[in-house]
Amino acid sequence: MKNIQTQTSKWVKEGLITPEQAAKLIAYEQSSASRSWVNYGVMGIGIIAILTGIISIIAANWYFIPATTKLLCYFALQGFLAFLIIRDKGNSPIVREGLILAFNLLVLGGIALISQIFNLRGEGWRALLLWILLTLPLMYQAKWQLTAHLWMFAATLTGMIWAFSRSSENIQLTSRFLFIGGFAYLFAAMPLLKQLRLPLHILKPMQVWSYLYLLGWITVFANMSWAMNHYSHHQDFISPTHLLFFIGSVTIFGVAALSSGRSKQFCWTLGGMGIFLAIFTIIPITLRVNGLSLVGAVGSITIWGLAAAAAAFDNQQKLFNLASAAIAIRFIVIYFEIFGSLAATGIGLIISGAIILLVAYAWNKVRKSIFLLLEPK
Amino acid sequence: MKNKNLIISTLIPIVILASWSLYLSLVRAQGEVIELSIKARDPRDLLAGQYLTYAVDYGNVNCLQKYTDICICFNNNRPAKSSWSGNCNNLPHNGQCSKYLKASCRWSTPETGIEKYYIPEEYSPYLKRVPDKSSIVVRLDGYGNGIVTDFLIDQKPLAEYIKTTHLQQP
Repeated sequence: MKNIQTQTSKWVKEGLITPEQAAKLIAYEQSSASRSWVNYGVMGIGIIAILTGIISIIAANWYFIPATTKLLCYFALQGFLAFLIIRDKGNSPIVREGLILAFNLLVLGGIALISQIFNLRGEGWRALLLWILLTLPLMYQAKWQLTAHLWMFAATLTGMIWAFSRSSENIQLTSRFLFIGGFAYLFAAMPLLKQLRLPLHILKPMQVWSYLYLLGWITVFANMSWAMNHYSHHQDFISPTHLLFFIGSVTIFGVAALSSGRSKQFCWTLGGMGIFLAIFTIIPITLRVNGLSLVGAVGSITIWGLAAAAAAFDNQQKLFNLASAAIAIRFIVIYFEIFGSLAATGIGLIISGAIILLVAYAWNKVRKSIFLLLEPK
Repeated sequence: MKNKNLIISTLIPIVILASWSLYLSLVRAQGEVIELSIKARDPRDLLAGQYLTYAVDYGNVNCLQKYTDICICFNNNRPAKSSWSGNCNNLPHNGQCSKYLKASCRWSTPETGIEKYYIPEEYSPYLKRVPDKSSIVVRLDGYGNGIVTDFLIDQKPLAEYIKTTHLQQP
């Protein structure tokens, strides 16, 4: 609040805005103070602290509490939270969103409780999968992006845990990646499909997590597939079903990007990125073309470059910064791949540090001008 | 309309979890009982809280192929042992298989989802691994699933065994 007052005073002094406009700005910020992320953060810490305290007390006496009592108390608490959410008698947005977040977290607690009471043996991804299915409707009703971010994170984590779980051991790792990659493409396609009319609080987190998945998980996997000699030495069986699912999802993503109704540059850049990433992923694992580190590095930088350009064309500064930072990090990794042994020496370490600072400086300087160049006018 | 959606959204997880708990409670109360002997396998799974994991001795089980699902039928002995194992589609229906569990073959070891038991914090110093003559009591739901309801050491419930014997603290 103090910040906006200081800023508006400065703007009035410079003649950029009138005192009346300054007053309107301040009044607007005051009315939407509930959107302050500081409030949200503090509330989140408070909720977590309370829940942790309750859990600690209960944990200390856990064995002595009968199973029926545990379940009844859990459902009573869950029901009480539901009642508070439904009642919603003019609660402030923070309270409403905090209650929804607490309700969703308690559902996860309930799943863990039932598993413990009945000694159910299941892998973590099953519990998370059940959680994301049960909390999907309420996540949709929330207005807070944090709730959706948590849900998307859990969905991403579910796939990653499944990929390395005992349940999926009968599927080759490559096929697992294709299967999960297909879902990542579908997730990335959904925000582009206007027909779905996704609310904003779901749209943004979905964009963030799906692109993080594609750029951070699938791209790295593809890069490593080009660089390693794994496929030329092993006969990994690529499941045709998973491959077709992956290709189908990429197609849906491509069509969604091209028909998103946004600027032509955005559509073609994003669609191109998706298709290039798919080809970049499929070639080394199907044609067993491996041991080409340079191709892997150049390919991944190209993908992140296209993602950064698409973000700039769509005026998404944060995604642009993320993708361009990934490029900068990849250059640092290339340096260490080639000159990594030098870092063991004092001089080598100094040079490495200087390179990192130089890359960070260049990234900071160059990205702003590139973003301004590419953002829609 | 908005409130109706909110009501449905909050009720869905409650109703589903309550139904699930109720089903498991019914199985625990009324399911067919078998006792299976167990032996030590892994150290406790520390990431899942105070859980003891073990290997169940099913007897002679046909688990020649890894990553296959099979069914294991049990005799009426105590502890029970496998009387038949194979493809669930070929499950005997002539009364020979009134008690059975579905299993997933991991290499040559069948896993039925009953390989874990929650132990309280105060017992953990005594149970770094499964003691000899240990067994579990399992309730079956009739559809190939089981719930572990008790952990026995030398035919005594865990709590009683620890109180009556003087296990050396590690």
